[in-house]
This record gives sequence, C-alpha cells and structure tokens, in this order.
Amino acid sequence: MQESAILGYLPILIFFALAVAIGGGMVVVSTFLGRKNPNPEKISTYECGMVPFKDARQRFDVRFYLVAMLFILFDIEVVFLYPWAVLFTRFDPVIFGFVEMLLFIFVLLFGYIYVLRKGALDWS
Amino acid sequence: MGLESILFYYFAIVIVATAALAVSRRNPVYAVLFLLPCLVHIAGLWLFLGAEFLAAIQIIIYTGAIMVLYLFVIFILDLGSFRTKRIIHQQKSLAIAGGLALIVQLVVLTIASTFPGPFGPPQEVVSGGNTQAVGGVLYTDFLFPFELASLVLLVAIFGAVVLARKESEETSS
Amino acid sequence: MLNILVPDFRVIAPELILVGTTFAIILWEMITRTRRHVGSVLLATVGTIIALAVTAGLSQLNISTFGDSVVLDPFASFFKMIFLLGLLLTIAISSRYIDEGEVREHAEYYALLILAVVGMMVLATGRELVTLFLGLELMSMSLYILAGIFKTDPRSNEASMKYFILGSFATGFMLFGMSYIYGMTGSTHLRVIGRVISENPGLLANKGLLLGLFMLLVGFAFKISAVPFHQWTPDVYEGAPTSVTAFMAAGPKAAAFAALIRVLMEALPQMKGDWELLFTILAVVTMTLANLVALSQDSVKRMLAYSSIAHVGYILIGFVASVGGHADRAFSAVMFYLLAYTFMNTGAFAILIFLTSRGFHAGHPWAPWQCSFFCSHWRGFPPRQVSQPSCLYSTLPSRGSTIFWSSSASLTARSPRIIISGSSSTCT
Repeated sequence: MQESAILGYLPILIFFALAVAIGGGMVVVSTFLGRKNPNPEKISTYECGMVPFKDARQRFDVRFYLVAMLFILFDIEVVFLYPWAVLFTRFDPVIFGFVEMLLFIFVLLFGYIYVLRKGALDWS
Repeated sequence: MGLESILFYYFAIVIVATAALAVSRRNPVYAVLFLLPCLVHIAGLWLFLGAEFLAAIQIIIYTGAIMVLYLFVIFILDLGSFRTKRIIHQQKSLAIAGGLALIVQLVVLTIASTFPGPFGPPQEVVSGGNTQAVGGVLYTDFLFPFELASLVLLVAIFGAVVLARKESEETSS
Repeated sequence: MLNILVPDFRVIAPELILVGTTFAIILWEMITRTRRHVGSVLLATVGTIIALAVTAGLSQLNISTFGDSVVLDPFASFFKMIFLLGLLLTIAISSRYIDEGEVREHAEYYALLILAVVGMMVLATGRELVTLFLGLELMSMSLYILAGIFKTDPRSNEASMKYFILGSFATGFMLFGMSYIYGMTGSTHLRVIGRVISENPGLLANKGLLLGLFMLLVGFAFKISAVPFHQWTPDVYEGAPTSVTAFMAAGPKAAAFAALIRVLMEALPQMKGDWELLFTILAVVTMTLANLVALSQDSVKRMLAYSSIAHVGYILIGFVASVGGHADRAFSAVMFYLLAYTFMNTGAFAILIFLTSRGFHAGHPWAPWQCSFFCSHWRGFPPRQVSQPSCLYSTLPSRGSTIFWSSSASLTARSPRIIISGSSSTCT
C-alpha cells in the first residue's frame, strides 16, 4: 500500500504532462509558423503606456519584508489548525482538545496584538 | 524499472539539479527561482510516502509563503552593487574539499547502512488519511512540542518586529 | 478515539512561570508605553526569583509527563537552577548597559532573555527528540535576535546574521541526524531508542545509526562551540552586546551539554565506543587550539570567547571519562564545572561592562580585584580539580590511553593561560 501511494496521482501527472505539452506546444508552434517583422517600437518592453524612466531594481521598503514574515508566521498557525479541525470530534475529552488549541492560539493572538500595538502594520 | 522508480528518479534528479543550480547562481533572483521547482518536487517525494498532508503543506508554506519572503528579502537588498562581487574569497578550495569529504562520507555510510523500513504512526491513529495520522499524534503524544511551537512563532514575531522596525522609523523621520 | 491525558504541571512549572512573566513584561510595555526599564527589570527579576524558588522546591521530584517526553529529575532541576542563576545575573548586569546602548525595545530584550531560558529548560528536561529540537530552536532564535539588538551597531548586526546563518546550518545537521536515528529505531523517545538499540544489537553495526550519531554531534558541537565548529564564536561574542555575550557564554552552552548528556546516556549508551573517540578528539583539539589562539587576540571580548571555547574542551574531558564506568561521577563533575563556569564567566563579562564605561583608573578600587577573581577561573580556581581529576584517575586503569591524552592536553593547554592570567592580575 505504501509503495503504490504515488500511483494514485497518475491522473494528475498526466494532467500536468498535458498542460505542459499544450502550453509549450503553442509557444513552439507560434515560433515556427508565426510571421515576424520586428521593429524597434514593437520589441520595446512596453509598446504602449509609460516610457520606462528608471532601473526597476531598486530597494524595496523593509516593511514588505515585515508583512511577508508575519504572513508566514500566521500561515503556519493556520496549518496547525487544519488537522485539528479534521480530528476535533475524535478527541477523547473534547474539551481538552479545545483547550490545547485555545492555548496555542492565545499565544499567537498575543503576538498579533503586539504587532498591532507596535504599529508594525501601519503604512503611513 | 517500473513507472514508480522512473518517477522517483525524476523527482530526485530534479531536486538535486535545481538545488545545485540555486547554490551556484551568481544572481540571487535566479537562485531563488531555481529553488521553486526544487521545493515543488520535494512535495512530490512526500507523496511517495503517502504523506499528502505534508505535500500540501510543502506547497502552501514553502512554495507559497517562504518563496515570497525570499523574494522580498532580495528586493530589500541592494542588488546592483552585489551582483558583480565574489562572495567567497580565499576559502573556496577549503570549502570544496570539506564539502566533498562530507558528501563522500554521507554517500558511503548511507550505502553501507540498512534501513529497517518505514515507521508509520501507530495503527490506532490511522483511520482515514495522512492528515488524520499527523493530527492524531500531534495533538496527543506530541502535545508539548506543539505548544512549544507557538512560543517559537511568538519569538519569531518579536524578532521580525524588533529587527525590522528600525529602518521604517528612520525613513519616516 | 484520541485520548488526551492531563499533564502533570509540576514538571513544567518553572517554564510556565517564565512564559507568564514574558507575557506580563510585554503587556506592561504595551499598556504603559514607557521608555523606562524599571517595570521590565522588576517583572523579570520577580518572575525569575519565583521560578527559582519553585525549581528549588520541586528539585527532589523524579517525574515525567506528556507521554514521557518531558521529565523532571534532579539532573534537570540542577540545570534549571544554573539557567535561572545565569538569567538573574544577566538581568542584573543588563539594565544600565542596555539603557546606555539606547535599545528602545527593552521589554522585548527581557522577554527574549526569558524565552531563551525557557528553551534551555526544555533542553534540560526534554526526553524526546522533537521536544529537544523545539527547545533548541526556541533558545537559538531568541539568541539570534538578542545578538542583533544594538540595531545601529553594524558589528551587532553582523553577529546576529552570522550566528543565525551558521546556527541554522548546524540545526540542519542535527535534524538530519535525528531523522537517521528515528529511521533506524522507529521512535523519537530517548528511552525507547535506547531500548530498541539494546534489544537489537545488530543495529550497532548499522552505519545509518553511526551517521545519525555523527550528525547529531555536529549540531551539538556547534551549539557548545567545540573546536572545528567554533568559528562563529569569536565574531558573535565580539559583536553582540556584552550583556548578551555574558548570557550566551554560560546558559546556552550548559543547556546544550544537558541535552547532550541526556541523549547520550538515555538513547545511545550502547554506542559508547563510537562517541568516546569523537569526544577525545574534540576535547584535545578544542583545548589546544582555543588556548593557543586566545594568546594572539587583541580584543578582550574575543579572548574571553576563546577562553569559553577552551572551557568547553575541559568539560568534554568529562564525557570521555564517563565511558569508564563511573558515568555519574564524571557527569556530576561536568555539572559542577558548568555551575562554577556560569558564575565566573558572567562575572568576568560584568567587570568588562563596568570597565568599558568607567575604565580601570577612574573605576571602583575593588574592580581590579574582582577582575582577577573572575579571571582566576582560567587557572581553575573553583576547586573543580578536586572533583574532575579524581573521577578521571578512577577510570584510568580501564581507559588509560585516551584519558592520558586528553588530560595531559588539558594541562599543557592551560599553562599559557595560567601565565597570562597571572601576569594580568599582577599588572592590576
């Protein structure tokens, strides 16, 4: 049973293979069959719209990092919630199962209030 | 060689190759982008063990959240100045020798060892899928580490706020 | 049905008190928004003292809970008291120093110190690999942040960054080793691992288990900064705020030693032959190299860092000696050494903080005397020779050669240090 676990995903693999084949096929076919008459205007990065005026590789504000970091932390918290929710009715004294998750969430809720209070998410 | 072995070697080779590319690229953005297929294929390896939950987590956390974080970190760095510099100076040969010795040792010892076989979670826990199996041990036997994990996350929150808040204040003032 | 048992909260009572203290400190700061340190210092001190009292009160118990993944025995209680003592000393030397360093996040500073101690306590009480790992992470993550808490000082940033990157790398090795040990024995509980190995002697010949032990030791050797894995120590100790360095040099090392002793004695005692050799090499190399390199340092903090590495070498002799059949005596010598080391080392850094703000000449007349008192631990002042060599010589007949090598290396390695510290105390 362990050994054949992956074979249950064969349809998904075939689906991926088809997706790659169709997507890649379109690109390949259009490279060979498409008409090409390039001119400088046509191959510029933005054919219409604003003219690029500056290198895009500039430093971002560190607050983006802070938001991404906090997103990961609370993402992980939610991941822990998922199997707990699936199993909830099977905990023997159900109230203990409830309390243990309550403690976990309380600690992170404390962290969340801390983040808000410190103004780490203010964007002014 | 059955279909399964072919699939396994496909995943294994892609993981090793993309990991090597991620380490060797000079441009950090390329390195991170090579990490992406690496992490996705690791999720594939989880499926070999019947660990669907872990595969899903791998995709959600690593290829979702952590990749975004890596990219943000790279955007925060000033890349223009650092792409041209060599990071490792004189210790390259020493590092290569040490790394090779470690790899040889790992490979030799791993080949020489025999593995008793996969240990699943206790049978009474497994009824349903991998999610139930993970949860079944996580919220009972491993309750203490589980609660500790919340403290580790709390420390990470403190760290993110304490260390990253400085610059935002400096730029605003 | 998934049975959840009510844990015995006595086992983790000091940890719970400390976590509560952390919340109280942060909450107090969030409510008052004060920039004064008094509240945080007071709360931290009170919490630590209560935890110390509770630990002392429970120190005679020998109970385990959470399915034998956490244990409270006299061994754990002793280490908990070392950590709490170290925390108390660190809080005492921090308040002025952190204030002068213009750290605005003082509440977080104390909260992280305390959470690091919670991690250390978990390391001393954990009897299960996942628990030990999370305790280690809790401790290390707090230390990474604390090392960088002087945010305007580039060297502090560098220390934090270096410690974080190398520390995560070491953690990776350790996890790899743990997964091999799990893969070989099918359990993460230390005592179950020990039982499985003793029931299946064939496992000892299995190279996978050896690889697991090896990788686990790499991770631990990094955390205690034994010599081939010590490279981070001088840079981090130099760059981190001195109060944090004092804290880092004592408690976390003791915690890593505690976890190491427990893993070796409860899970892998059958592999004595393998780890004896590894510890002999580590001890000899660590003592020799650290003492020699310490001589050529021009920063006091770097020299103290190498001194702490050398101490690790002396402590590792205890691990070699434990193989001879008197493991309890060898490890009680290690524990005593760690207690003395915590006190003397924190004292040395406290004097350093005092002197950097005042200087010898304008300072207190007692400062040079205190300095030479705390430096006297390099010469082995607390009479640990009384405990340690006696246990070494008691095992001499059986383990003659390795003990000879490591103890003679200890003596030769210590001699330049004796000269240095002797001359420093005569200078003052």
